[in-house]
Amino acid sequence: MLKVFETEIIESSELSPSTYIVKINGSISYEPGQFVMVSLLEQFSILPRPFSIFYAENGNFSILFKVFGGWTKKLAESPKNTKVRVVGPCGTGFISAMKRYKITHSPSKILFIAGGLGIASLFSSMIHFSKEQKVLIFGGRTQQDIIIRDRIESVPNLDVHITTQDGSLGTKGVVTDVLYNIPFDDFDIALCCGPVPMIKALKEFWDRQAVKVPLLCSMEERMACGIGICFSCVVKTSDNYKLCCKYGPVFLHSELIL
Amino acid sequence: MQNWFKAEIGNIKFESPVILASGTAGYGIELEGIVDFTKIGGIVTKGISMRDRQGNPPPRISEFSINGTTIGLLNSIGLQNPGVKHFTEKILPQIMRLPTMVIVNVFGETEKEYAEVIKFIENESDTPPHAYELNLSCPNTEKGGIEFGVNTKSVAKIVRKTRKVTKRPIIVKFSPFSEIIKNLMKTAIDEGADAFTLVNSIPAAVRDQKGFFFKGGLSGPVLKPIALRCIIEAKEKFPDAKIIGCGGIYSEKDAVEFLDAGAILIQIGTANFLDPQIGHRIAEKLINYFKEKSQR
Repeated sequence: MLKVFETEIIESSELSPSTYIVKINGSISYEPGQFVMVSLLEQFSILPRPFSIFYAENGNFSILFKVFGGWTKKLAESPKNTKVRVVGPCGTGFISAMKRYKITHSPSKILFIAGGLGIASLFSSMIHFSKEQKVLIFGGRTQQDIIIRDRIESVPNLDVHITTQDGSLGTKGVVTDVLYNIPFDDFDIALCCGPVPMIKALKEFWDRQAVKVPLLCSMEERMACGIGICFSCVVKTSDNYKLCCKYGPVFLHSELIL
Repeated sequence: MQNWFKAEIGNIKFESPVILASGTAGYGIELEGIVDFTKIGGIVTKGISMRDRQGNPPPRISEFSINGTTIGLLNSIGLQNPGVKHFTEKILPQIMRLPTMVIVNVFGETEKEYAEVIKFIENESDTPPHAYELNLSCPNTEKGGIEFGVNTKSVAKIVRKTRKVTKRPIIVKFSPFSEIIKNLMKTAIDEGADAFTLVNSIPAAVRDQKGFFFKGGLSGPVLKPIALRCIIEAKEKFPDAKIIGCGGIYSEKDAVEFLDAGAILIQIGTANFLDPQIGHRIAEKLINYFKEKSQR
């Protein structure tokens, strides 16, 4: 259930240059693909920032992000006990989206496609479906974008394909290059999260190759509130604009107009 | 039942000075379970027009920063709404269940559309709102909004026509142009407006990181001194006018400044995005201010 609470940071750790995991105190009951809005109580910002819920355990949860401006830098550098406000869990996650689109609740084989930080949203989905057979295609520009490899390796029943544009790790190329080798008939569903150009390329692939496996896409748009009160974060769909924060962030590929 | 605060506009009574501003609180129902509406004086809905509107393409927001500190938010939502029919049938009955005053914000692309929207609600709704707020100040549409809100003849026509179709309070929301507001207020009062929301966001533009100009309505802390000036000058010219202060209120201290400047109520806008509970938090903190004021 959506709640607003003030709490504190437990720890911030650097995963790779400019990529951080921040652990926040507080239990949150969420489903994979949902997100939280976070603001620092002692550092004024006009808007809270959205973060996928990366992981939750023992009364705390983590967010995974890249530093791309002054505010995220402050968040990354926040010492233990820094006060934060959290609004969440927000949005329609993968499980609720499967229900909405009448996609099977109990898939036996799942394809995951992550681009860079998109892994943050998909990681909790992979844990959720730990018993099911899974394939992950994880793409980045360089090997530095292929984060949390140790955690991914610990996910049971998971085959991993890595692509990097510079060829520094895995197959040289982009995630769609690997898709040509995927036997789609074996899969019940595909989940993806990453930059919009990647999702656009996936949608085009799905249309061009007439792939029948439903593809659920976790989208991103400039967001102000995260709870459906400002109408800022719209995503264009075949049924007009829909709120990324409320109807989304998970959309079915066939309804997206990118 | 609270007894620390009372304000009236027309025939409706507010039991808290804090109202959630149009466009920053959805239809209120999204905040059920988060906001304590018993501590909130009222909610103003997102703007409603006759026909449904898709709104503007994204991006719809951009931030205005100085030396890394954001002091303003630009928005260009474009009045996305489902149209008055859907609103009246499906949404308004849910809003009216909230234990607070409900003010429907009304928008028109033409001068007569404002009255048409209100007339529709008055005729068709089994659960009519408590009051209406006329958006004469939206900076993000090609037609209507701010175009009418700077024109005396348009203000006169719109207020006159809407006054004829409802007995409920009519609140006029203006853009933050203090010189213009003073003239327009006289017209609106003469035509039967009950109160004023001062102010809406101010038309502005910023250049984003990719070099594109983003045009929108500027709100947030940067709007506060502009809003205060509008209220002070409006109050000097019309001491009896009922003014709802709005613009960059983030704290009890901000709210007190607006109340001391002459506002009888205040609206929380952009701050709702940072903390959706800020409205009832500020209301709780204002109790002491009003208690002390009553003992003066």
